[in-house]
Amino acid sequence: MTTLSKSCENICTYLGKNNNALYGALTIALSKGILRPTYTMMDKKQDRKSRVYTAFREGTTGAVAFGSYLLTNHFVEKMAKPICERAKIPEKLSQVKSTLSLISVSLTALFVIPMICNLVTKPLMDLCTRKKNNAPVNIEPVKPDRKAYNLYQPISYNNVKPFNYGMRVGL
Amino acid sequence: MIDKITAVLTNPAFVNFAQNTKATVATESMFKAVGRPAFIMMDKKVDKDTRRYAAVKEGLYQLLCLGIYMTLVSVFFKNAGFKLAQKLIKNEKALPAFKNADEYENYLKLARMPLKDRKSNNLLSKIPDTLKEDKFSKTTLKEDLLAKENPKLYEAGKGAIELSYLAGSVIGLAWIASEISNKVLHPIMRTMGFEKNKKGGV
Repeated sequence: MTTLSKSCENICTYLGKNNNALYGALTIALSKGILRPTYTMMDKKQDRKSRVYTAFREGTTGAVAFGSYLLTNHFVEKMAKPICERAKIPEKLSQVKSTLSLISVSLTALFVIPMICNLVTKPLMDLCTRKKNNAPVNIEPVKPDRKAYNLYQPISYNNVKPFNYGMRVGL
Repeated sequence: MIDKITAVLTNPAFVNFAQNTKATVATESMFKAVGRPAFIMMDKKVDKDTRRYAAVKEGLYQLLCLGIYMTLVSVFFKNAGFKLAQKLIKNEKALPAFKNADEYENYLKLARMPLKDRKSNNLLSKIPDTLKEDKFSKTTLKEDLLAKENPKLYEAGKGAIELSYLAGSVIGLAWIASEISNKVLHPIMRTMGFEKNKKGGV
């Protein structure tokens, strides 16, 4: 119990001191990117084609969001300082960061992520499902010509001769 | 030009809005609920039924996420996680006996302010007069806020809240919202006239 208490204290203190909103955003993007497509594919009330597209789109959204949040965070870190320096307001750096972050994340969520998804979802889906789609359908399995290849031939009872046929025993 | 940009970026109302987690989550969710279905409907590479299904699912999911975040995550998970951390962390010096997560957050806001701003702040009235770091402390936390330039922040409390948000977001947004979405999506689509009363798919 003391170990659990100490571990909990250490984890909470570390997170409290090194809190970065990016960790949360990335964890949420990753978990949504995995769980949402899984649940979509479990929706048996919808036809398979729609489910596959939606699941691909949700997965792509999670992946794109993951990358976008990293880029957005980098962009905000890079842009906020020069803006404050040029405007001679270095004391307002944290305020500029928070407003810049809200603007960039909102624009990314509203335009950038869905636009990238529109461009890549269908090609990606086609690429991943091509193998199945190209598989020939309704083709009967090939039956080998048993006579030509001298394979075992089943007995045809119509041609079976009586046991004494051609036997001349004792004559 | 740069002055106009910084005037917007440092506008007090905008800064307050941007620093309010609930407000930013609500804004982003509303953008997602509107923007993403609109973009899905613009994706002409797939048929209309598929687009409708994906768009309604996306819009519904974002609205569910907003509701779940506002209720389950930012109220239930935050307070439950904070209480659990208080029970698990036996060391009172790491996390004193705050009544709930909100009381701790009020304390934290005050502790991060310059000393001269604290004395006139309304949040000071929300800190109990008798709350101490532990039973051996000679001064209360409120007295520390009024006397010390840098009072203790008790980061374990902040970490417990962040951890609760993280767990709540994964459980609430990725799992529960997906589960509810699957349950209510088809009745909603039928109500909207996007789906006939058919039984089962493929």
